[in-house]
Amino acid sequence: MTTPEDTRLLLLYAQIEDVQALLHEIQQEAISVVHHGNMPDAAAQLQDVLKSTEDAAQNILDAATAIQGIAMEDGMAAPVTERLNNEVTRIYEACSFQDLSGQRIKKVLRNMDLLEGKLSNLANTLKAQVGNDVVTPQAAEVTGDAALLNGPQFAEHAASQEDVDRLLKGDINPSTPASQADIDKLFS
Amino acid sequence: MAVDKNMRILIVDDFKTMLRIIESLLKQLGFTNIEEASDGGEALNKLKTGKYDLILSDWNMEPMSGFDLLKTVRATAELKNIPFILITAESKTENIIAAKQAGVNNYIVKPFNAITLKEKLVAVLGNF
Repeated sequence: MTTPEDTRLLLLYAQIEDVQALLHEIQQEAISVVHHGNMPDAAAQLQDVLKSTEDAAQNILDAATAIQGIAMEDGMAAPVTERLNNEVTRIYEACSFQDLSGQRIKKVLRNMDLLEGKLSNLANTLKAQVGNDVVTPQAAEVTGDAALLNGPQFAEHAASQEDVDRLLKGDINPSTPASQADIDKLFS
Repeated sequence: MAVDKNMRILIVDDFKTMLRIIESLLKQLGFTNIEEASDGGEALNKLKTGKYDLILSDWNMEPMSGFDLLKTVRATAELKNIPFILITAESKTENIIAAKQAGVNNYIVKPFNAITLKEKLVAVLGNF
């Protein structure tokens, strides 16, 4: 006959099994996040955003400075000079978007770095506690049209407009010399 | 006393865009002698080797923040009287109080406009 004490022990044992199963699941999730490139890729994407917005802001400021130069040229009517200068000032003020968005992105990158470290530590700790029999989950395979949704590429992997135009023209004639860089891009 | 538009100004920010914006706005106001640094440490090196008349600095920079730069400037005999304006996204009351206690002359919150920059410069330097 099962005593109340036995019942409590069985319940406790069942709960311990549930906790162990949950630890396995957490460990698998942690490994997946750290090792399947989600975090490092996200960080790289954000770094690229920082760089490209900085480049864009510098280009805008170059153009604003050029306009200001034109506004100050001899022969320019004073009211026109004043209006141009006022608009150029507005451009300077608006370009501060890059500073503020850049600061936010840097903060996110710092937090992602901390999180990645903690997840790595967690995965290692759980491995030590739970054992080495956990199978590292494979990234889910994406097929069909969804596999074509790659998003913006980093500069070193992106095809140039020239590359695209050549491919669209079917210009893969062996007699047309292609540089090693062109070939590498097509195969990357 | 008239403000010398040829005064030597040091602007400090880790974002190149912001350095460019502040420099452009200062030039629009007639100031021409402007130098840059990308963090407090670099700024401090420049300050120790040259004579500057005004410092405009961001707060959040690494390895040395603008706040640390302010405290160091105020603690250094040959630098302590240089007017210092913080231009920063830090807008909490505790930041402003800390900056005031550390000896900042004025405080501009980002995003800012050209009118605000001129107002604070006039408040620190006098009319121009």
